[in-house]
Amino acid sequence: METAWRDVVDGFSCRDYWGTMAWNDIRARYRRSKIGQFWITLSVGLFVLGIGVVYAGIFGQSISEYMPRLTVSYVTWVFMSSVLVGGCGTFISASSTMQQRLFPISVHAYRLVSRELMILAHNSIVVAVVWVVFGVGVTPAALLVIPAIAINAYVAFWIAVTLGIASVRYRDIPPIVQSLVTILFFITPVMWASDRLGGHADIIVMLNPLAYLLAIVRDPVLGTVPPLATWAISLGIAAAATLVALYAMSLTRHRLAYWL
Amino acid sequence: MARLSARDLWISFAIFDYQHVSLKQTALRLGRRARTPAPVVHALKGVSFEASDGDRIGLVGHNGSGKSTLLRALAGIYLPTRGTLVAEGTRGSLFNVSAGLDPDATGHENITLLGVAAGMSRKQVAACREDIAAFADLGDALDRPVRTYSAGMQLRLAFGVATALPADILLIDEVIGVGDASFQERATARIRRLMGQAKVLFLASHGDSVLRDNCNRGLVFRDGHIVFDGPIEAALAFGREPRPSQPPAAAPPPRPAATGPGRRRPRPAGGAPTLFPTRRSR
Repeated sequence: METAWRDVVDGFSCRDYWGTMAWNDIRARYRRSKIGQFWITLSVGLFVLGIGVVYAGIFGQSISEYMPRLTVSYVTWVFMSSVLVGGCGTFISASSTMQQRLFPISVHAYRLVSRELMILAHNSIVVAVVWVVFGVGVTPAALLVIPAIAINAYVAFWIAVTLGIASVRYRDIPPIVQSLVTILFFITPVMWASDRLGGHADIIVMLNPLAYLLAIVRDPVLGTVPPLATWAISLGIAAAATLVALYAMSLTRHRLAYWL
Repeated sequence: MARLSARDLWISFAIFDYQHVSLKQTALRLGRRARTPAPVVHALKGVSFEASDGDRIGLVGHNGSGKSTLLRALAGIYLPTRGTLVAEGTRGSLFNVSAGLDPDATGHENITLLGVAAGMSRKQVAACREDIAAFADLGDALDRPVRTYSAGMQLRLAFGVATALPADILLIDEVIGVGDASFQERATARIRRLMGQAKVLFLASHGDSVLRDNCNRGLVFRDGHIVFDGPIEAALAFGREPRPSQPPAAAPPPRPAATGPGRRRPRPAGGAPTLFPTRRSR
């Protein structure tokens, strides 16, 4: 565990490596087209527009009420799902570098998280646009989004380490995760609010860790302060993710190169 | 000051076939008792050698004889499966010209990418940029995407970056064979310049002239063993011999170094170690 932690600390100080690589990941998208990463932002915007109109009708809610909630939830979801899917490739996609030079393995997770945060910043524009169009107010509670995103980024780092290691060893994990993410999308309150679930169905939300991590980002943006319990559970998830990832690292860190 | 010492170094890989790299298959097997362990390939079978400042070592041997594995072990990428490997000093390596490379980025951008992938800080990359560009000699092509480069141009760029900063131990795999004659000459000059600052070089190549120009000592690999350690000329001659079942008659000339005279190495006795003991018995 200690050597794994050492790796994480040393990895952070290789900022010039992972920062440059993450930055280049983003630049790569701008090389192929003028608006680059904003193509994804555009598709997020279209999704929100289309689903917003249709589902507001299905749920019998007004668009001005449903759309802002959907927007912030979906933008956060895009971050979470890219971390889950991309996390499988944390090390596989870096295999040529990993076989050339010995870096702390955590550098590749730092690269992934910083890249996804930059993408999140791009997609936040959709939130801003919806806020302006629907004249949604911003309250001081919105400041809580900063610690909320910090917690999400922190969890994302350990997820990237864990899924990255598991995927190097078991090569069928990436497609498994891919299909799980599709299911997770429907059982996480992205398109719907959990208070609309009747009967015992809300147990699905209670047992879904993503629901808590999503709530701490969504609620402040919408102007409400998430309950203390939600923060506590999110921190608990963060602690669990840390322990699992550090354990996985300490077990496999030295064998990873052999498996690539 | 660089010093390397390998003692009975084994590097072994478990060869995971579909059954072993599949989580689903592994889960299905959980219930059953008999677990077939993954077969193990021993890439290095107990090699020993010493090297210190001024040693420019050529690695001679057929494909799959263990040269690249040794280079990666020296880079710290593969930890010894068994035995010890002590390497003191900073390391620079070039095993794969495309490690860290983005084919869509320009040559200039790739100097940065390859540089940080080689462990340089952005400051160091900036300081070395001109020197790298001068060595790569790509002119205006530096502003073009690297995917438009020939293999030789890509090599010049990657080699220029990998050798930009002096390293105590420089490790180069067969990549430099791709370059043309003029590249080989300039690569040799650049290695000389780096080696002028003392240090140790390990260079794997199938080109005798490349090894002759750059090395003063040769290790001959055969099937994961070092079968000869001595002056480069003698090593090349030894490497050319057909794979003998018995040692050839003529002994190679002695090598005047701390590691003793050039000599054939006996094959180690004893069984192969298991890489991943099946401790998951239920």
